[in-house]
Amino acid sequence: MGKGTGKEERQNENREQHVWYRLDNAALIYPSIQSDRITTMFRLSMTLKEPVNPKILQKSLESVIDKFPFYRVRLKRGFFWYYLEYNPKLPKVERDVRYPLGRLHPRMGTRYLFRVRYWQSRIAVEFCHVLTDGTGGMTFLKALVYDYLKRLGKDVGDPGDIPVDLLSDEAAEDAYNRFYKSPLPLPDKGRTAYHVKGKFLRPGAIRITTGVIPMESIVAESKKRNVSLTTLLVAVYMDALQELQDSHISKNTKKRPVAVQVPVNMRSIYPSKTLRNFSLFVIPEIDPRLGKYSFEEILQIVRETLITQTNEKAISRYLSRNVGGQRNWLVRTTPLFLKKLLMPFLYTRMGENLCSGTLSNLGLIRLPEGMAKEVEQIDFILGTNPINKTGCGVCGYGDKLVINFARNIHESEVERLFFTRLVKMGLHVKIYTNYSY
Amino acid sequence: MAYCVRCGVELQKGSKACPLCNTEVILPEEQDSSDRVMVFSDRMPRQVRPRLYLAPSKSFVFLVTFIILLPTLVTLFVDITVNRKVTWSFYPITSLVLLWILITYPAMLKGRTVFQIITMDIFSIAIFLMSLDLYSGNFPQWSHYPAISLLLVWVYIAGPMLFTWKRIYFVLGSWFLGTAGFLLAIDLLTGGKDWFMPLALPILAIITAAGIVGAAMRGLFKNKPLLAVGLIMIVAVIVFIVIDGVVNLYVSNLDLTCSPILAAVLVPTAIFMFIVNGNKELKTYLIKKFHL
Repeated sequence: MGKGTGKEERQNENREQHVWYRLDNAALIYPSIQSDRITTMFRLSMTLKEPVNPKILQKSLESVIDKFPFYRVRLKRGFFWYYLEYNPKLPKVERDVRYPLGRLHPRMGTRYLFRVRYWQSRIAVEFCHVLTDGTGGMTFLKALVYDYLKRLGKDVGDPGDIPVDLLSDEAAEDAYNRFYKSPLPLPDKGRTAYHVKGKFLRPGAIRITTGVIPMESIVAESKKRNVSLTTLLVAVYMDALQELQDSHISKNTKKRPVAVQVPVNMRSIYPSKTLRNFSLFVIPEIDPRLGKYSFEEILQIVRETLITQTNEKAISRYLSRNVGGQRNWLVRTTPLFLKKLLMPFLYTRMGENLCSGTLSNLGLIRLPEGMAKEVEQIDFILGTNPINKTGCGVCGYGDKLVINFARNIHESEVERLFFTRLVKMGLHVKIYTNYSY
Repeated sequence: MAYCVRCGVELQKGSKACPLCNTEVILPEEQDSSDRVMVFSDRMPRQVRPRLYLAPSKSFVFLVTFIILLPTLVTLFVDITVNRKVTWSFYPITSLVLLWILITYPAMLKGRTVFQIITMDIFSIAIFLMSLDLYSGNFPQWSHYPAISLLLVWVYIAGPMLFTWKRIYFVLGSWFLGTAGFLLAIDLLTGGKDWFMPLALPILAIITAAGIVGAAMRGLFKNKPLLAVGLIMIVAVIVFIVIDGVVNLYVSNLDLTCSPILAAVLVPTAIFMFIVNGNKELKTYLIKKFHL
């Protein structure tokens, strides 16, 4: 598709205006809770070995976006639900900024629900969670960078699992609804967890602390303890949060549970190829009212929880609750403006209140051999919210494990406690930030 | 290669302090700022002020037109079938037409602005009310009162929109003229020049003058709040004395009743504010003693 003139855009609009999508089950809540502080964004970036050429990147974006028709959308308001409709305008690449993950205003104008940013040798995509989760976002980034490198004349070889043609309808399915089972017993309501306290930065500002660790040494450390990498990192995170709570609340009875939300990629449990949202959460939890937990105890609790909760039976209870709520006739026939009033309450009560932080591990990212030669590092950054002020995004690529903490407060205690624990394990941690120049 | 002596983590080249614990980096040769590695762009994100699009889509206009057309036609046919002419149905039909204008007007106008939409809506409501009055006979019986009130509302909204707050004196001037015109019209409509000249105009003039003084010293609020509050008190006293005098003159004779009591409270307080503002020592003493 060529560069969009006004006339061409109108023609496209006429041709494609019948294309629209319902929001998937996880996305339903996000448009109603968005604000300058809850941006509902996440970011994936690839650092290449050469500086980025923005003109070629723009061409790649224009070509790749049409292979992902369910991302070429804008958010619109229906009478009962929000929906996504074809966006006739072309997305534009933009220069990166000091504070990434700023809010998109999807309800205003014709904006996309993602943005592509470049800086020096890095290409980043920032997605609003309404569109997709980490897996979908990573697939898009891979396709974009693959196309970009190919246009540069690099020998990128076979694309492997990277989509290079128009994706099928299966990639756009709402997998939550597909795998919904008739009502199951509801999961536990959970208790309000401990939340980090701190002085907020101004809205829109965000502090990123990146820790880079040699993959080999951290994998060896987790093998030594006979746990997975995610388990190890979640346990370190919980231990750090436990110490932080202990430092300002001395009475055990006044302490709150320390719980970390760990997203689970549902595609590994259910056979779906969707590139829209398809993840749920497992929340390992310790109760410091019972006394201080040793690191070994935390490790054991996290391991048990991740094993017992990430199976089809246990997770289907959450799926049933969420989709059941969406299918309820009373909910469906309530006008959107009333639903919008309730959504922030649900988001707080059933989501953010129950955990003290989020740790999302995208796992080891694999790229086709030809492409891997050109890519230096991959980063994954989670957005923040005013309840849980920090979020931790982890992804491994090549010989590096990159841990990105994002926070919306001045204090860096969580990051300090987290990374010093890893240093004490004998791991080499290299830190850089977007604020301490 | 610099390490934090407290955390043990490796830091980015050129860091002055550890970003985790703020401990100073003790490697002076690596503190050269030109050598720093920037991981993120120094470009600040643009502060986007969302634009609210009031205009509904064309499809929505069709939908609304259809929904409004149905009760309009039903009402009309029922009335004509029973009475053989339009009688009571005039009221619901004009109401539905008004509703249609209010909802769909933004979509009809290309390149519309909020000002145009508000203007159209206010004038539509005025015309609607006047048409009801006209239909019931003896025009104008009552509709000119809400109509000129709506005109005044329009003046209040239009002033800041046309002149913007940068030309605040023009805004205040338009409000003064609009309000004066409204009060004069009410005075004339209710039986002659009774109270506008002796009562309404002087009160309006002194309130506008106070507004102009307030606008002139708006910069003071940030820099010298005590001085600004003191001045507001003095202006308030003058306004109340004038209002008190004008009202009493209108009712009986020039005599002040309650305004001297107010002046007895506000004038010494204002003088105290002026003194505190000029005396740094006293100001610090008060902050020290009464801080919360």
